[in-house]
Amino acid sequence: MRDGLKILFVLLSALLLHRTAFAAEVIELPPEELAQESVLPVFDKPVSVKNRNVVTQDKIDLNFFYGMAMTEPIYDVSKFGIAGYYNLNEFHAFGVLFAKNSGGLSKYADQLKAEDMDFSVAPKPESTFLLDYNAKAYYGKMSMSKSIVLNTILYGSAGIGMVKFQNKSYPALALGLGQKFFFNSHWAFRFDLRMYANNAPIPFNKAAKTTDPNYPAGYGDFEERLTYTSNLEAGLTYLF
Amino acid sequence: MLSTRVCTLISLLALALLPSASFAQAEAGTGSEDLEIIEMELGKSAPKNEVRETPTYNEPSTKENEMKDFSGLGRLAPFKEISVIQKRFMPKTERFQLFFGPSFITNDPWFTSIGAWLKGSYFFSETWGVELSYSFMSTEERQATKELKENNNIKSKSLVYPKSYMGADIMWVPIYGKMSYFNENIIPFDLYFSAGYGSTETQLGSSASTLHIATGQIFALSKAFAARWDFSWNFYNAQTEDNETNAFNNLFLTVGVSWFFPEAKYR
Repeated sequence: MRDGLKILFVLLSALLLHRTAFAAEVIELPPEELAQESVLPVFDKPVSVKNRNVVTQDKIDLNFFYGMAMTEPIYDVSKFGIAGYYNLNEFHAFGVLFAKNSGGLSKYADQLKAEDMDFSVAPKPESTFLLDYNAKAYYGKMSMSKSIVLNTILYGSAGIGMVKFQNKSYPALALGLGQKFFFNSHWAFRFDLRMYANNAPIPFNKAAKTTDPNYPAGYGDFEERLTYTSNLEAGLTYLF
Repeated sequence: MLSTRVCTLISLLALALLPSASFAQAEAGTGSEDLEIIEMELGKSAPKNEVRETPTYNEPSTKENEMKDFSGLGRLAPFKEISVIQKRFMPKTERFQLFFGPSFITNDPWFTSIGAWLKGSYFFSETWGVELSYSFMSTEERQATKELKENNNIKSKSLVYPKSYMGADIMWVPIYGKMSYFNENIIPFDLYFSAGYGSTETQLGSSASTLHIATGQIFALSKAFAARWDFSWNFYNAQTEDNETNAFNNLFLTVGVSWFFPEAKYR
């Protein structure tokens, strides 16, 4: 009889569990009580990119670019350059940059001929050489109208070097920002905005005026001072 | 003896009523006639378990998951970066953007102009929007202009610089992406292009019709705030002090903060 009671207890428990299982109902919550936002998880050691499409570590990249000295008043604003960088890792790269200035004068210099100014007698900038450091702070990818995916690197640059004029070379510093858009794992478009600071001969000398008794002035007649020039560069990068 | 039989029957009944036991029994197929009859009887009275469709997730079929041998594992390609951009962290559709940022003109060799831009935008979709802009500038002569005047007595009469600009643009945002900062934080961004028309007020007080094109990036700091840089290029014909009409262009670089409102509607 005692065994019978035990079994009856087991039976009742089973029945209860059985009914509970089948009686499970779908609970429908009103939409306003459902989660409305997504949140990003926070990890102790966050690693945002685990497998890069564009791996730069221990690689060399070669760059060809066209530059435009946007705040140059007198000389031709165009320059063409080549640069090579060694990428220590995904965040730091060191390299050298060489840019050759186009000869000639700007449209402003041509306009000032009407004021008897001849800037062709002033020493012109010929080339720029920099040791350049790139801090590749941002790496990412972007979709163009959901059809093409490009990888991009946004970096800061700091360079030290020389700006060579026809008569003399001057030390120069350059700070800038740049961005590369990789359309495959080797080739990229690159854009750089650099601010150069260097001493330079100033062409606005009296002896550059054709009516001045000392005209034409010699290169040594032009005073020097610190100048700032903003440069916009656009070009191609090949990553070996 | 009777009680033993009753106990046995009750035990069997209890086993039959247990859900797990009944499912297992169907697969095992023990063949006990008594049990089958009891189960049939119970099946008639048991509540039907409703089948609900799950609208978004489909369990892959067992055939797809079935692995016949492991010889192909060595030939698998490495799991590379997945070229898919997920849903937007900061949606723009049917939202307004208010932007303010300090600015300077980057391409004027004769004047240094520093000021600010104020922009108000509305986005019809993630790709298209309209924007109203206003900028004001404070300008002083560069050293080159002073030297030209002092050394050569040449005044900059033929040069014009802007005091303010007001205009309207159509914004096209075809590019959406994500960037990681030193492999730690992920920052979503939009890259946009805009074009429009407006009016530039010069230092001489005249207004000049202006064609405006721009590009820039909007980096989402949160779902309401973003950092934004903008390159705006203005083209206009303006009258100089010499009463000549010359073509001018100003390239503005602006970096500032955007506020998006109202709160985004999320998926």
